[in-house]
Amino acid sequence: MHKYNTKINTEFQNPANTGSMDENDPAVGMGFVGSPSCGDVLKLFIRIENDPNKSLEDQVIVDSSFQIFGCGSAIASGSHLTKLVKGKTLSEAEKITNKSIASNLELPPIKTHCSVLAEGAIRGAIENIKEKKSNSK
Amino acid sequence: MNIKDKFVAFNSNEIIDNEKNNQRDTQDNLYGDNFVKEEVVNQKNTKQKNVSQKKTRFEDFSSDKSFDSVYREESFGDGVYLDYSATTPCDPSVVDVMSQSYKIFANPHSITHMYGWNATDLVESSRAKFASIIGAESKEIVFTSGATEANNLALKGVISNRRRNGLENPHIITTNIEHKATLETCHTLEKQGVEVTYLEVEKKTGLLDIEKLKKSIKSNTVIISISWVNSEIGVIQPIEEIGNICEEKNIYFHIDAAQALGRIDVDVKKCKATMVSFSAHKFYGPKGIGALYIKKRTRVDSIIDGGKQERGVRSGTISPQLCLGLAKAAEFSTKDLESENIRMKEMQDYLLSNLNNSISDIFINGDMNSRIPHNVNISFACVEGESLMMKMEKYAMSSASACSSQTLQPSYVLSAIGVDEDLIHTSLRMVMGRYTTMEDMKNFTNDLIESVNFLRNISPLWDMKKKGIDLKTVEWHDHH
Repeated sequence: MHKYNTKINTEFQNPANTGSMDENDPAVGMGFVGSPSCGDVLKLFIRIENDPNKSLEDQVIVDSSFQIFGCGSAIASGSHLTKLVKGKTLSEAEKITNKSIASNLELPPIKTHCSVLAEGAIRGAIENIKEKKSNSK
Repeated sequence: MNIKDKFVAFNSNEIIDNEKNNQRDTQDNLYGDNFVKEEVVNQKNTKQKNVSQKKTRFEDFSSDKSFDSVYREESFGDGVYLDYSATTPCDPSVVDVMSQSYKIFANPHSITHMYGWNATDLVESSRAKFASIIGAESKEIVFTSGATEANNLALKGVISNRRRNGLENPHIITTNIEHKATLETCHTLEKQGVEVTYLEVEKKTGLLDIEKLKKSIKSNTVIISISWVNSEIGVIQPIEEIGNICEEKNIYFHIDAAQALGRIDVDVKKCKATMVSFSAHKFYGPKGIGALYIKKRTRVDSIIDGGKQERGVRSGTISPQLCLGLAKAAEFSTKDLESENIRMKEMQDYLLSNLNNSISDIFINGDMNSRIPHNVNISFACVEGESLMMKMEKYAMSSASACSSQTLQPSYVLSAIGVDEDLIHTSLRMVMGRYTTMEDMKNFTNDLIESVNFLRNISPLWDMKKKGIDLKTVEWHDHH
């Protein structure tokens, strides 16, 4: 186990926004990445405001939560990600990269894959919402 | 006082053979050894006035109530150490004896003056003491830097000798759950053309099947190398049976006893070993010293070139202080072995029965019957090992999870005994030792249950499991 910095430790000890959302809700997007045999699985939920006057890209993420199976920095990355996406529009959230998560948390290089996992989760969640919208049209 | 008198006072035989002065029971005679000059003791007493309380710790530190709280606090702080297979804290009385003996400064291989003779005496009396503890003779003990070096010497030394004597393709038999010190040595030898069989231990138990071993023996088999106690899962291999086979077939038998001494009774004659590796820091001795028992008339080449110390088998100046520390630690840790093992068993039982009553989906790795009572290795389904250790940061443990290793490789030992990869990630190894108390275990058990529940509550896998989804049928998107 690594000796983590305070940022990661704090985020790990009190992870924000843990929990799930109704996956069938059209306003909810779910990103599901990783595998148990790799040692980390992240399920990210985002809820958009669903404002009929806005385009999908401009919809603001009003809530986010996550479930995690993974190491300390994976838990910290998930928690950080939920805070990061809240208040962002989908097009803004789409621009979140693993690099920004890694640098925000100062992840040790050996744990970079945790931020890759987080990037995959937000991409997946946005993709999921887009799919739901195009299916409902 | 002339210098010669001083050295008479430092008679090293008294340092090591002080049975009559039981150090642990006598507060006044803390160091037990007459070699400590009075003024040194006085000086120490004034210096350590404030910590004079410490000196009562030798009463009986294996029992919960009398273990010295000062030493505990200084070494462990608020934490609890549960990683005694990685290393053990050096016994404070061993440290004391060693630090006193630092007045013996000379090179034990200097045979031309009294300083050297004193150092030699200290080394040799330590060697004799250690030999007697493991049922060997003095000249059968070679001091090394640790068990890794001892394993290297045993395997490479024997192979080199056999090859020098005309055997071109010697064969080694070992297991697939050996310590890296053995496995990597074998890999190196394989590259040099040596044949190696890595016997697969039994799934689930991790024990070696004797019939399998018998079948793997070939005409060119020269050595069988097995670790007595596995460091990860704590299982005890059937050493005596293997010893009988080796004797019968006239094959050298090397045992890695790094995890055994101080935890089980080690008698090199009884187990019919040709060579046995030891490491002092695994039994409350100092780091940096180990030993290899080499039975008389065993043909071993040296693997380090130099001044031909240690009967030509291991070149390099050895430290008299470390030799003393090794011998003292071996003496202390074998003395209360039985009562300690009973205490360990109680704590192991407490932990396991409480876990079983409180949380579901936990899996014990390795056989429970043929196992040291100090070791508990469990997988907690749906809870990643590193996160569990972080949640319980007060407790020092280790995990076979890939995420907690430097290389991101999951444990080969757990893989070898057939633990699913996803359960390897959820494993936790706790190894108790001399300074672990029942109170520690009670707190630990409570905290462990709480932490597992906390992490399961946020685990998507646990959520799916509860909803009845078979995780094996899920299509996963690996990002690695």
